[in-house]
Amino acid sequence: MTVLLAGAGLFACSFVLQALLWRVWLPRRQMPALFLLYVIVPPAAVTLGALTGHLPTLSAAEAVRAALLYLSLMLAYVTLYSAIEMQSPTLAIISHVAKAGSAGCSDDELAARFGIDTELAQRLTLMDQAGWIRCAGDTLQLTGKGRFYAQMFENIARVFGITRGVSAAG
Amino acid sequence: MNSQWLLTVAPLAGLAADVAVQLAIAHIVRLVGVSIVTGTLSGLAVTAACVGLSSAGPAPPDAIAAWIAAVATYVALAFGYWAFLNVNISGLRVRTLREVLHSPGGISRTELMERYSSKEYLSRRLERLQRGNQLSYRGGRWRLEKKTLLVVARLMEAARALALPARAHPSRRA
Repeated sequence: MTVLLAGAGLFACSFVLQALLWRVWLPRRQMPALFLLYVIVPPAAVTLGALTGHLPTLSAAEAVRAALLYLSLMLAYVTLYSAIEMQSPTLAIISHVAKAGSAGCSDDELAARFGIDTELAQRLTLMDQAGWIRCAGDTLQLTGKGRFYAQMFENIARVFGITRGVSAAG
Repeated sequence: MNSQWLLTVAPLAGLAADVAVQLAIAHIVRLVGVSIVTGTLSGLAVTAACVGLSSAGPAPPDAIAAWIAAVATYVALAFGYWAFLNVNISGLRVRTLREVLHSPGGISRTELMERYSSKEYLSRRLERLQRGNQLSYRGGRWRLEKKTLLVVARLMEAARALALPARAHPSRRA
């Protein structure tokens, strides 16, 4: 029980702290700030527990289990955070159609709301800013850095058997 | 290995099984969706088996807490692995990079915008939602059929309301 309470309790503390902190000061780059906060909280909580004499007694295996539970919850939350920060387009479509009720939505209504060409343009700008691609007129080319990441994603796709990704887009 | 450490490695063994089964099925059967689901379930089975084998240790209610902690750890790890695969399958940035890599002389921006236009993406998403019976298309209008994804959308909105201040919500920024 102590392991579950320690791992889940620490995660709850980090979450509450983040929710409160973000209301006071919203970081410009939220993801690194989120990581930092979730990394700082456990050692801070252990130090506080040791200083106040409220540190639970755990065996080595129990401490590792509590740490694993905290880390896995943290990773899942960080993964989910991008969907919290930016609404998923699929869920946005579902919410929009649900709001229309039994009348439903026409193709034109949906195209006006979700068919505006900003998604790819935004990604291209970000990749240009990150130095992954360069534009020569209308032609996009990979920089050395971009080629490194593209090759890495290509290798990941090959190793994990998801090579159909690119062709499926065509 | 004593029962305490077997209980500790249970979620990690589950994740290893998840990855191994997903890899095997993706390469042998070449069905990505099936490989992900089978991998996840296999990992859960391995986690449960490890916890079961170690259950000579704690007595209830500690045994229940141990089960919850192990399964929650595995589910969170498996979710991370699924997200990693999903980004590589459908992430727009990843797909674009790979697309440019496959065009040695570079790729035309216009061509890319046509291939990945928002209208194209929208029609693919609607098609997928229709195939999954989430939406129906009758008389030229889209209607909600199942509430599964709507529940997910509501849960995400609730999580957003808890985690972010109102000024940071996507609807406010739009």
